[in-house]
Amino acid sequence: MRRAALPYAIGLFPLGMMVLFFVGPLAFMIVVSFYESDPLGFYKIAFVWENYGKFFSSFYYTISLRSLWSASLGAVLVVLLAFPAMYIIVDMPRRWQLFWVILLLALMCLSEVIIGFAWVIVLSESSGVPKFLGWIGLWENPRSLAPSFGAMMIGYITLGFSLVALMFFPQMAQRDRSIEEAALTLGTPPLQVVTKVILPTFRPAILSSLVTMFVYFLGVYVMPTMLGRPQNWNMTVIITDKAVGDANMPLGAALSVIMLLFTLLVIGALWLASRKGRAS
Amino acid sequence: MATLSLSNVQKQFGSFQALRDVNLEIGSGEFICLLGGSGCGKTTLLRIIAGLEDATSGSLRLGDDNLADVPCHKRNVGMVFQSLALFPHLNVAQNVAYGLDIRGVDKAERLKKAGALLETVGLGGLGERPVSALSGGQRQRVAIARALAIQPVLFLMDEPFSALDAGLREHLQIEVKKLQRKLGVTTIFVTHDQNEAMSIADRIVILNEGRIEQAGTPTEVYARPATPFVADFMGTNNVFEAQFTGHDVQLDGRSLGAPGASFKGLFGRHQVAVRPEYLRLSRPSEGDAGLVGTVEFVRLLGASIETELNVDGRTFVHTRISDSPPEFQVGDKALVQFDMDHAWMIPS
Ligand SMILES: Nc1ncnc2c1ncn2[C@@H]1O[C@H](COP(=O)(O)OP(=O)(O)O)[C@@H](O)[C@H]1O
Ligand SMILES: [Mg+2]
Repeated sequence: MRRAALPYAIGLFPLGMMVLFFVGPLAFMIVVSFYESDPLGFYKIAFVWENYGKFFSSFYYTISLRSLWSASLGAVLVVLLAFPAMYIIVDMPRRWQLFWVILLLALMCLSEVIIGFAWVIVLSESSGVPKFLGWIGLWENPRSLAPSFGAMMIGYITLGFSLVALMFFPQMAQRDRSIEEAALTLGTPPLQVVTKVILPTFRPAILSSLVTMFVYFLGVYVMPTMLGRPQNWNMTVIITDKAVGDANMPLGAALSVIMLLFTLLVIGALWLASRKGRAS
Repeated sequence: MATLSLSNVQKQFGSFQALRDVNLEIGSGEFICLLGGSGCGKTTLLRIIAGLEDATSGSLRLGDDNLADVPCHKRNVGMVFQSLALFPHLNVAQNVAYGLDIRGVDKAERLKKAGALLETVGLGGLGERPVSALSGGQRQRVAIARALAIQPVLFLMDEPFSALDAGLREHLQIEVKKLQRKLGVTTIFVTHDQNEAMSIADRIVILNEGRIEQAGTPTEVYARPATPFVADFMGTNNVFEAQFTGHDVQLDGRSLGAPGASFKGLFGRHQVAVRPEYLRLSRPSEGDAGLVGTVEFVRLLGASIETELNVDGRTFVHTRISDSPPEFQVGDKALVQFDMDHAWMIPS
């Protein structure tokens, strides 16, 4: 009896961690989302749907669409850049591979705030790229490029690039290169090898990095506030704004719950799509 | 189909010379085995023929076409890779039909052809399986079918059976040979196993350190090795430098007997190879002037008995049909004689 119980006891550890760090806060958030907001404190204990009701206004609706758009565009851009970059890196001589991997790891260590600041400076009129372009005469009336949607996307890419590139690294480095050569000998023109063979064999890795980046970008806070305009802000910024700025915890909690459900929905849809893709 | 001719093909990787001055003519419908040890340049030569690698210098012609001008994807060469390189995202039939898909054959037609080919290689009915669900031998057949589906002008195989167990290997060798005969496709088969090469090739090309040592039919390279390397590689175990005096042949000053008809009138020192089956062993008598050696090893190889002897530091191998039990034991002394009528002089 005792010996049989041991595996279960070991299983309690991850379960405990889940409850402590995930289920607990989530449950608390769900509970709070039904409370009433109190302008003087954070919330009043109650059971109202009002916080959820507020979501269905055009304001939050627009913000949701906007969050969805910036997160998915960011995810696609990151994968579009990181995939070919890593594809090139893994065929470099070992020393260069090592150089790039260390560089990417270093990039991952940078905090969001530092990356944000770096881009603010680089894109600013007074000291960055616009000033330089003005100086060499390529831009007559240089203006700051940040904050803007483009600057925010650049920030997203900087944030996600190294993570996605490193996600691709093991599979790409270990892939059987002769599969691509086989496609060539069978008559595939070199460019078509990408669409016919390389992308399909990396399909699962590409999908999972897209989902990872999508979820990650839905939750970024620093990049939109530093590099984006208020009209580019995503739901995360708005939630923080409501919960902390307006001291309206219940509304913030309700919006978070909706975001969570929404994210799960997108992941579920992608998962179904990938299963269907494999079956065909 | 046309003759493939390679002339003065060289390949350099940095300062390393992987192929040196390769000259070879391969006739239409021929089955060639590229044979050689690991790292001798077999794969490199195959990749150059397929167009996956460019020769550093030299020319490659197929009939009247200069292959250097034809990129890999236009050469119409069917290749079976050492790793097989099956497409993991496609099922068995889709793998086989892939080349036809690229050539614009419509779906129903190409799947029909793939089905027929799978039938030919003994995989009928497995078309819908994912390739990951197949055994090693089955995957091998898929790779072969995939390469043949495009009706290639050249069929290249890079050590296709080296990962399979002996029984399956032999079985597939026979099948591939039959299939090649039926289709009449010019085939280049890379192997490091001389038995495999002997059993399937029309002609064997022996490579050593990037150079062709000899090209010839299996019987030629086996019985008449052109270089000491070939003699050794093909298992001609008794190679030595003998002194020809006109009336007898000597090794280390001891007579081996008369030179036989083929070496009559020959003088000087020459490399001689004698196959183990043409050695004769007998009990030495007291004060024998011939070669007397000590038996070091005796083993039964099914149909034959192999005896290894040490004669003054040289090793000689003798084999004979195992119709009676071995008459020599380890440690016995034996008189070694050669059947000089069956000896072969390696040209120098
Ligand atoms: N891309 C390459 N770069 C450098 N050296 C190579 C390359 N490909 C092969 N070689 C070298 O060329 C030699 C022959 O290789 P290969 O043709 O693969 O031998 P084999 O197939 O006969 O075992 C080996 O010494 C190998 O290390
Ligand atoms: Mg090889």
